[in-house]
Amino acid sequence: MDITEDIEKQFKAGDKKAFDAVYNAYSRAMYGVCLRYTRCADDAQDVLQESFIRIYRNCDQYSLDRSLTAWIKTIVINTALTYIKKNYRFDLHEDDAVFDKQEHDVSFDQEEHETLKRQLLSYLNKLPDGYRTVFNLFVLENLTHKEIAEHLGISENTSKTQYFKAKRMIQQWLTEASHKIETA
Amino acid sequence: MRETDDIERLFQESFEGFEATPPASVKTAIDHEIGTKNRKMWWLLAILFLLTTTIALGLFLSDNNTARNKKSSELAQAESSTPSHSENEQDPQNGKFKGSSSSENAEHSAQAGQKGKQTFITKRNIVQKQSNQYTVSVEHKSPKTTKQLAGNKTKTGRIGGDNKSEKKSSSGANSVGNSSGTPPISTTFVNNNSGNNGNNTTSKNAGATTTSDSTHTADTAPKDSLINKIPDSTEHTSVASTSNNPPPKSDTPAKWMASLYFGPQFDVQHSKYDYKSLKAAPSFRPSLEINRSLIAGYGLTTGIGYISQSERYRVITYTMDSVFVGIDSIAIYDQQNPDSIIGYQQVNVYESDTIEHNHDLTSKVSTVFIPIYVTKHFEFNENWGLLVNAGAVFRISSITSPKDSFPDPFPTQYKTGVMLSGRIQGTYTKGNWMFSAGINGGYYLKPPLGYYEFNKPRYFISPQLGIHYRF
Repeated sequence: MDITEDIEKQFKAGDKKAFDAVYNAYSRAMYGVCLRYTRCADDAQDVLQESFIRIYRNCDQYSLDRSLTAWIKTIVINTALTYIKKNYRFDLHEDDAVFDKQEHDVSFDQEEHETLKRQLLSYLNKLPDGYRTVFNLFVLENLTHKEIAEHLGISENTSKTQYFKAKRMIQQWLTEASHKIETA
Repeated sequence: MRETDDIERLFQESFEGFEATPPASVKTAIDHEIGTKNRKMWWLLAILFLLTTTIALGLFLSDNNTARNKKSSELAQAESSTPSHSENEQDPQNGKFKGSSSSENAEHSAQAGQKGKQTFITKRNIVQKQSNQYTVSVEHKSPKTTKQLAGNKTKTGRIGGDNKSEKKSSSGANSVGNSSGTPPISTTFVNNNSGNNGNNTTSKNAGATTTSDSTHTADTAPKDSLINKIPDSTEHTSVASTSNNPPPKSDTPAKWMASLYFGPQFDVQHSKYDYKSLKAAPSFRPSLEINRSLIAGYGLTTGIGYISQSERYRVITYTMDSVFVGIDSIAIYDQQNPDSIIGYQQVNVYESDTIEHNHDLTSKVSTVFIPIYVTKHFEFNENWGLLVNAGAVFRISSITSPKDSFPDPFPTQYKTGVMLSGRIQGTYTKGNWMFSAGINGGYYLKPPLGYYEFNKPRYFISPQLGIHYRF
């Protein structure tokens, strides 16, 4: 369902039906975001629930000249980060400043795109919380390490370390997976 | 612009437009939570409405009482300054009584002068007031009684014309009354007067006044009985009025009090909760309040106040960065000879190096609060006293996130909350002004910000000074 300007206005005014329409329009995409940031589906559902409660309670803060999608996504990501900080042992430390800068070649079959997507999501979920958070922010939200460092209260080097470790871990899993496929 | 490698591209392409359907239970939970909040808001509004109504009603009733007391006092003043016959004229029954007396007096106008008539009216009214036996008075004036009396002992004409015979009849009034079967008239009347005077002679005269009281009034006889009652009666009425409705004093005690309180507020909470902590910086807390004295020295206080707090929530995590495994040796002693070492045993020693990480969430909480207190002011003497308040503080807070929040500062949130609160202050009064110093404290029934799995009780304490003006 498309969100028209009228619905946006009603949503801003706190109309419950408009909120339901917004939920129906955005819940799937936002659940995808939540799945990326959390360890499991249960946690993602918790984050989604908390996010939309915040969205409803702060609907009057929404500015009609902004993108509703961006505003909602901002809240969802904020909620996810708060959730991670509160509930996960959020390990972010720089234990090796010299990290592997080697680029990894990844080959994948486009036909298996959907399967791969699920596989990648499982890899994301398996990553340590710190790795996953930085990887998400850097790769999928397109933030720089400096910005990530500022937002998470860590050093820029730590952010880089976390990212490269995450990438190396994913690369390893992908290689193992491709070996298994070849063996089969 | 940064370069993207294969893995980045892989993830970006894979997760572009990535969607998944959340279970329906999520929406149900959201609806339930929103509904619960709305219900909570309604409860809060209902409580506020009830409190406001109670206060308004209390003030209204109090004002009504004041107005009624004032009116009564004015009436009492007017009564006390008016002669007794005027007072009786206001009573329709007395008016009737007076009318019959006048007609009676008209019959006896030849014997009794105008002065005597006035005296008679006054006397009887006063007697009536004292005895509260109005029926007796009415019967007393009836023509039938007159006829009975006349028929028994004297002729009507003699009553009007012969003072001597009337005196005789007067003196024999008791026997007449008894024989005519109308003892209540004279007896009651006599008893009332005798009760007041203890004078039997007067009682007889009074009893004989059934038809010829005016004549007696014209003579000297009743003067020592009923007329002497006038001042007493007037005085009695006046005193009664005074005791029931005291006239307003010129120095009426103040009903209202405007107050300004100020002082720092310290929030008290468990500083450590495993690896979580919450700390609110001390903040200045001013409030303007108005107090209305209601019943028995108790009053109600309300007002408005403001406080801005910086609140830091910290989650501390520890990670084991490295483990050092060392080898150490422990001496083994001979059991029979403890001083001799018979060998050494090697053991592993583990030492870990942990790193502490602090993740802070700092929020600025600006609160407007409305206290509603029941107030009692104990006055020890002219100057010193103790002011005690107890009640609830309703608050609405705006919560803003720090500017460096990711990716934008979080939209300002508005939260409501309630605190149970009390205040005790020593007071010094000088004229209409009062100064106080003491402690204000309370318990957060609902803090403005809640943190996950961090629900330890939270209190506040605020040493305060107060300036008050009573009017």
